[in-house]
Amino acid sequence: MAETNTSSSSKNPDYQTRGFKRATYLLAAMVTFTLLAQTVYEWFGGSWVGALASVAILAAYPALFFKSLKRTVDTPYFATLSLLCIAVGTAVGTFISQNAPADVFIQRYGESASKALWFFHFDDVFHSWWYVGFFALLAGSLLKTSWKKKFNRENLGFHLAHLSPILILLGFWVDYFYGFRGIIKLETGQSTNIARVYRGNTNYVGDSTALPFRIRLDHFEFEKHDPDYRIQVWKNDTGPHAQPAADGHGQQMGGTPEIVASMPLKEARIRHIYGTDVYFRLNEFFPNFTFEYTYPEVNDTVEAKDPGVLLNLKTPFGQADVNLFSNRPGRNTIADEQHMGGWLEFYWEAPENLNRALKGQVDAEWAEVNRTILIGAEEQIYYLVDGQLSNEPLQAGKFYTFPNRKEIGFTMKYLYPDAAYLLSTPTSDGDELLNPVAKVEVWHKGGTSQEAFLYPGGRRGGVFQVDGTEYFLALESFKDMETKYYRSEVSVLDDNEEVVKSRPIVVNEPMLHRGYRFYQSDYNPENPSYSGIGISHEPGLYIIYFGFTVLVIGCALMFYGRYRKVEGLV
Amino acid sequence: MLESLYYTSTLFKVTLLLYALALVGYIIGVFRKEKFWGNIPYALFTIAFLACTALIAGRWIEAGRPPFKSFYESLVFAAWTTSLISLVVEYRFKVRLVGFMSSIGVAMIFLFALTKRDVEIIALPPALQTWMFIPHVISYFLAYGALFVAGLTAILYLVLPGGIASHHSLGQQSRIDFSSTTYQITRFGFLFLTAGLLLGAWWGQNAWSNYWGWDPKENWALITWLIFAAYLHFRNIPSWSEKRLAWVVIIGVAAIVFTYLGMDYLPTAEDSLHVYSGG
Repeated sequence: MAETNTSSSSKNPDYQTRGFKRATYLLAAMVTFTLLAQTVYEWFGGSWVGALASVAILAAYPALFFKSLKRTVDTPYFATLSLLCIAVGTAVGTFISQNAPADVFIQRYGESASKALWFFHFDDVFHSWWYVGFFALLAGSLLKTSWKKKFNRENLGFHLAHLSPILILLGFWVDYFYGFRGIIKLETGQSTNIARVYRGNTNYVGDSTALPFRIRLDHFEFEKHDPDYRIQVWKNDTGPHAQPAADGHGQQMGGTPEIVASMPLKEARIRHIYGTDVYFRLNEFFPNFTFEYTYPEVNDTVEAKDPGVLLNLKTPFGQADVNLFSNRPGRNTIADEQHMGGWLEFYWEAPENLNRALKGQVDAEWAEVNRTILIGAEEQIYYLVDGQLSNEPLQAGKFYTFPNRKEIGFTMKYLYPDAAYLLSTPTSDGDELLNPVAKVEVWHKGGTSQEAFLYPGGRRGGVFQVDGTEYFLALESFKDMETKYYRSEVSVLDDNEEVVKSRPIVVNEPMLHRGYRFYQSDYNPENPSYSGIGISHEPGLYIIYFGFTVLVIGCALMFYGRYRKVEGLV
Repeated sequence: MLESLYYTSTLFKVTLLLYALALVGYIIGVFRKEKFWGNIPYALFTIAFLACTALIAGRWIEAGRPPFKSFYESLVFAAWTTSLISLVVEYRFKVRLVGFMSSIGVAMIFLFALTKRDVEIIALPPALQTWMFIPHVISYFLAYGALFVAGLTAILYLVLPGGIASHHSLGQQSRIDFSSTTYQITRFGFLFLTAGLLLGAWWGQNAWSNYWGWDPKENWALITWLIFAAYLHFRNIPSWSEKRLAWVVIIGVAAIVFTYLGMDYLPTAEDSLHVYSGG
C-alpha cells in the first residue's frame, strides 16, 4: 500500500488530509449502517424478518465499501481514527447512565434528549451495534496490517502485538454468545441446579438457567477484621448544616464530626491537640472494663445508712458483679423471673411481707413468684418457693443457687452497712476485648488535669468533649468495620444426589467444575446462613488471557526486543 | 492543611521537606550553569525518593498489608513511581529539566496527599486480600508515573521545540530532543499500561467473576490505553507533526488524571468497584 510508504509523497499534508478523510467516511458509513440495521432489527421486535433485514443492511456495508476498505483499513489514518472512535464511544458509555430504566433516564435527561440518546443507543453503548462495529473494523485493520507485514524474526513483536487484540476480541465474542454470569442464592443445607443469570454486562438478574449438576451449600461463615481500638481526636462539624444528635446526648456529636488524629493504645506519650492549649495522655486501657469493689474491714462500726450487698451474679447471660442497695427503690431487687427462676431481693431489715410470712400469714399475691431474699442485718437468706419459706445463713464466698436452678446463682462478696465506704477501682476482667474502656488524662496548659473514661459507640456518650474547644476525644475501632473473609463450603451433586466434589470457596479462590466457575459473591450480615454464590461460564476466558499475555509480550518485543527493527523516527 | 501537617508522621514531614528542597535546588539549577547545580538537586531528589520509599515501607509494616488501598496511600505511591521514573529519565537522558518538572509535580501530589490524609488505617476487604493486588497496582502506577513524566517532556518539547542547550543537560550532548525522549518514556509506560490491564482482568475474574465489568474505571483505563495506542500509530503518519504528537501525549495524560481522580464525577460511578475509599 502506498499510504504506509515513507516516500516523499506521503509527507505531503494533502495526502494526510485525504487519508483521514477516507477513514472518516468509512467509519461514519459504518455507524450509519449499523444504526440503521439495529433500528430495523428492534423495529421488528427481534423477529426473523427484522433479523433478515438487518443482516442485509449490515452485509451491504462491506459490499458497497469493499474497495475503499481494502485500501484504507491498514493505514495509520484508519488505525488512529478507529482507536480514538472507540475511546470516544467508551467515554460516552461512562458519561451517560447505562441500562437505566426509561423513567429514570427521562428524569435525568428530559424527554426529547432521551429520545435522541436512545436512538443512538447511548443508554447501552456497549451493546450498540455501532460500538461493536468499531471493534469489527479494528479487527479487520489489525488482520490486514499484520498480513501485509513480512513474517520474520524482526517483525515477531509487531505481529504478536497486532494479532493478539483479535484473539482478545474473539474471546469476548465467544463469551458473549456462549457464556453467562449469574448468581445462585442458597441457605445452608439447600441445593439447586438453577442459576439466575445476569442480563448483559449488568448485575440485574434476567433469566434462569439449569446446570447439569446440583450445588449444595454445606456451610457458610464470615468474619470481620479484628478490632483495633484507638484514641481519636475528633473535630465537631460547626458548619451551618450541623445539627445536634437526635438522642439528646449533647451537641458534641452533632452533624458529621471529622476525625483529625488517632493514636494507638500502645502509645503513652503526651499528645497535643492542634490549635488549642489542650494536652492529653492515655493512662490506662481496660479491654474488659469492670469495677473491683472493696469494703474496709470496719463495717460493724458503721451505721446502716445506705446498706448494700455486692454479689457476683451468675445468670444464663454470664457472670458479673452487682450491687443491691436496701434503701434505694429500684436498686434493691432484680425481678428476673424468667432467667433466674424468681426475684432476687436485698433488705437490711426484713420487710413487712417477709415478717408476716414468718408468722404464717403468707400474702397470696406476694407468694405468686419465687423469691430469694437477702437480709443484711440477720445475715440470712430466705427462699420463698411455691409459697413455702426456708432459710439459711448468708456467708461470704459461698455459691448459692436460685430456687429450682442448678447452674445459676450468686456468691456474696461483701455485705456492707454504708455504700459510701465502698471503694470501687476500675479494672479489667481478663484481656479479651469485651468491654473496652480507656482512661485518659486531659489538661489545659498549666491547668489541673481531668480524668475521662472513653468507650466506643460515641453516640451513647462515651466521648469526652474538651471544654472551650471544638474537639472531643473518643475510643473507636474502624478496622473491624471491614469484612475479613466470607467463605462457603459447597458440594457438587450428580443426578443421584451423590457428592462429586466438596470444597470451600472464598473471594479470589473460585471453584472450577466442568467449565463453570463458582465464586463467593454475596452475604447478608443479617442472615448468617445465606450465601450468594456467583457463577460464570466463560468459554472464551483462556483465549482472552492468552491474547492479553501475547499482547504484553508482543509490545515488549516490539519496543525492547533484540531483533526489533530500528525505528526510523527515533 | 496545617492541621493535617501537624498530625502527620515525622517521616512524612521529612519526605515533603526533602522534595521541597529538591525543587528549590532544581529552580536554582535552571539558572545556573555549574555542574554542581545539576548534581545537588538530583542528589536531594534521590534522598527524597528514598525517604518516600521508607514512608511506604513503614506504612506497609504498620498496616500489615500493601499500602495501596486508600486514596492517600495511592497518592504517595504515585509520587514514588513518578520520582523513580524521573530519576531514571534524568540519569539516562541527562536532562535536569525533567527533574525540575517532576519535582514540581511530586511536591504537588504530596500536598494533595496531605489533604486526603488517612487518620485511620483501613483494613482490606476480601477482594483485595490477594497477591494479584500488588502487581496490578504496581504496573499501573509505574505506567502512570512514566506517562506523567512523558507528559512533562511533551510540555518541554512544546516549550523548547528546538531542544535545549547543553548547559541544561548533564551529559556531553549539545541538544536534547524532547520529542524522542517523550516517545521512549511513553513506550515504557504503554507496556506497563497493557500489563496492568491484563493483570486487572485476571484479578477481576478471580475476585468478581468478571474480567471486564464495564466499570467506569475499567472503561477509562481502556480509553487511556487507546489514546496512547493511537499516539504510537500517529507516529507512523509522516506528515503528522511532532508538536501534534506531544499534544496527543498531553491529552493521554489528562485522560490518566481523569481515570485516577475523576471517577466520582461520573453518573456511572455508583456501581464502580474502583472508587477510592477515604478522603
